[in-house]
Amino acid sequence: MSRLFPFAASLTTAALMIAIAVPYADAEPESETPLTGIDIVRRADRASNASSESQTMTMTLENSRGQTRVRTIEGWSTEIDEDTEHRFSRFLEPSDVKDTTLLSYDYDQEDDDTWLYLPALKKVKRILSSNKTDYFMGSDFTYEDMENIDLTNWDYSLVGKESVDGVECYKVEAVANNDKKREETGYSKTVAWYGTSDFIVRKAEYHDKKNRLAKRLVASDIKPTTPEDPRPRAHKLMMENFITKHKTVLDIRDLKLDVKVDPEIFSQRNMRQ
Amino acid sequence: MTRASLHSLRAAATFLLASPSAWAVALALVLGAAPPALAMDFDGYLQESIAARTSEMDDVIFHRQTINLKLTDKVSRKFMYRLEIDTWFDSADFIDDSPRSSSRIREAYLKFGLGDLDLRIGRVQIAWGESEGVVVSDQVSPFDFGNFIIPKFDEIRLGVDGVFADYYFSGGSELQLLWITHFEAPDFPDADSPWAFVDQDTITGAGATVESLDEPDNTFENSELGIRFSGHPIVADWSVGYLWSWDDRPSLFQSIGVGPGGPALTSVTPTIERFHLFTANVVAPVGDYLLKFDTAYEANRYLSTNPTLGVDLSLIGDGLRVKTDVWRGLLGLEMKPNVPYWEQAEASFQFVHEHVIDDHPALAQAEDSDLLSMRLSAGYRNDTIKPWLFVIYDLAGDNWWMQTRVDYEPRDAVKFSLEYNLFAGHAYDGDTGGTFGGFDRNDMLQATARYSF
Repeated sequence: MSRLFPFAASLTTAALMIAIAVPYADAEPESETPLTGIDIVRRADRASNASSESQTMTMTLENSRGQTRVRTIEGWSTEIDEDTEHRFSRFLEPSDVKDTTLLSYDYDQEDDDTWLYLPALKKVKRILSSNKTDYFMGSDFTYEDMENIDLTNWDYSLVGKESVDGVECYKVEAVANNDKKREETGYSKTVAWYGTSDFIVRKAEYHDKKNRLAKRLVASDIKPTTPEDPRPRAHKLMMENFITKHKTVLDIRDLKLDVKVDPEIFSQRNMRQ
Repeated sequence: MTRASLHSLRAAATFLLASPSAWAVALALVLGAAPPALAMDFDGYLQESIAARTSEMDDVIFHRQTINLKLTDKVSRKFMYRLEIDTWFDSADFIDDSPRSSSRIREAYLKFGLGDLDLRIGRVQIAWGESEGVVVSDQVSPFDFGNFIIPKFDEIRLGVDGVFADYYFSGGSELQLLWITHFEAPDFPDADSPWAFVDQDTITGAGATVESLDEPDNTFENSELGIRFSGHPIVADWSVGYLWSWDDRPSLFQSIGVGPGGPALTSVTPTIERFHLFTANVVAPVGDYLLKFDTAYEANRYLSTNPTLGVDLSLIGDGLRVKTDVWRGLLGLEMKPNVPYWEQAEASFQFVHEHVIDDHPALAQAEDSDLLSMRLSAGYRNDTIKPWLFVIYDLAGDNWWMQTRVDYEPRDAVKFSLEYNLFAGHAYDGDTGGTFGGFDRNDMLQATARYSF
């Protein structure tokens, strides 16, 4: 299963589990043949995969006047098979959405199955998958930014090497390669910068359908997930929207990869707890 | 002590006496919560709301301050408790020229996790069905009709007292068993409220009296029982349910006496009666749409007649009411349109058909009715501005309601809402009209500010 949005940004999130993919342990040794765009993306994809994850995420939304709003979400995900992933998330704040839960079964090739529990309504509702271009919970991340993606829908081109914050990176462009994806996506082009040695995404830029630079993602606080797990990941992501003059900062904590996740977490019973 | 606080005490005492079991649970929760547990959450909101009829802008229809308090303590994976209380203060309005206050427990229960069984004891809000803005199978918990159905859909449901068991099967299906210890009446509007369902003037003008609500005694044999089986496979969510219940919609028991000119109406008593409710729901994703089916079969219901449409003396024993079955079915469609400039778009459409099985020419409602509803909503500026439109339209005509609202959330936990409710038509006249049309004079502009904590 690929968790890359056009690049190995690994915004693994239907359950709001956003984390930059950091292919560290699985990074393949450099081969003699020069890497192509798709090679780089595949390497990042393989290395970023985890069979399960858990984390707590604080999402800070900031408007052009510097006013902020904060959402805190805890989430779990687990891979069921090659094409299916189950995700669960619970809002911890703000108080007006506290204990709202979201359960989704994500599929690579089909629309997701999603259920929402709103505490005030006292019931679990099946809901439609959101439009890919809709923004998630008032943030600057669209559902497209966070979905599992099918690499075959995109053409990747290595356009050069550039330094980002002192780290040498591959610069890779992605464009949709079929009409259906071109219709679905909110972007005409995306560009991402991968570390040449670790394949970590340092930066990504999103160009809208009018070919304007619409958003920029910057990943930072790259470190091992836990003292026991040396695989590093970005623990801070900032998405800046140049059209709306708004930005979203994600701070990820308690990130655990390949943890044993109780299947009961992904149940409607747990949604109501 | 002020008059308002005296009123408040009286109202609280009345409520306490009316719902002893809920208060017993609430008291146990408060006492039990004295030493705060680690997983205790305490939250709620403060809300200020004012509304005026636009036909007579000097008529403040209500001006209310509400305090909502919620206490949830997840003591362990096997035990938690929850308490939610609303207290509100109504300023003087054109219905009542003195301020008033009241309080109610929305929920107060203990929850035990026993293996695959969740057991809740106390006051609980139960939601059945898939309908939105119209009642089909969602008839377990009563509703707050004090201001008709103006409260938001997530605030209108009230709790019922009893024991509630949810058993979860390994395949994902669930069995829910309900024992509701006593009938809990909806909050009905005051008799002189513009939202009153009974037209007092017409009745008293005919020389009859309107009696207070006749509801069942709080006895064991008057308790309610329910069962619901549901599943959530990938292809569709489904459920079937049965409730042996009391009908929240009182029928009008009309007493006839002999006057100088012959038989005459002497009194009208809104009366709560037993009935059987059978329900079934299906929700299925089909492509980019969500299809909904919600149906209810109501057996042995009592429906009111309108004497002006003809008196059937054979109905005198039943208080001029018709005992009949009623079937209601809803077909719904939800979608997220991809339309330029319509951000965070959501649209929902419902068609509701109701059929009275045993029709009577004097029924105070149509034998068949068809309602259409539409909801459109959006979110702009990073979900800080959220417009909303909800319309219900009776295909027979002269009976519709439109609610428009804009929510503005400038910062976390702060929300301002401006809402307009438009009613059009007239009360049912034997041909067209209905409940929404009957409130034609109640077009209303409402402003609300809420702070959540």
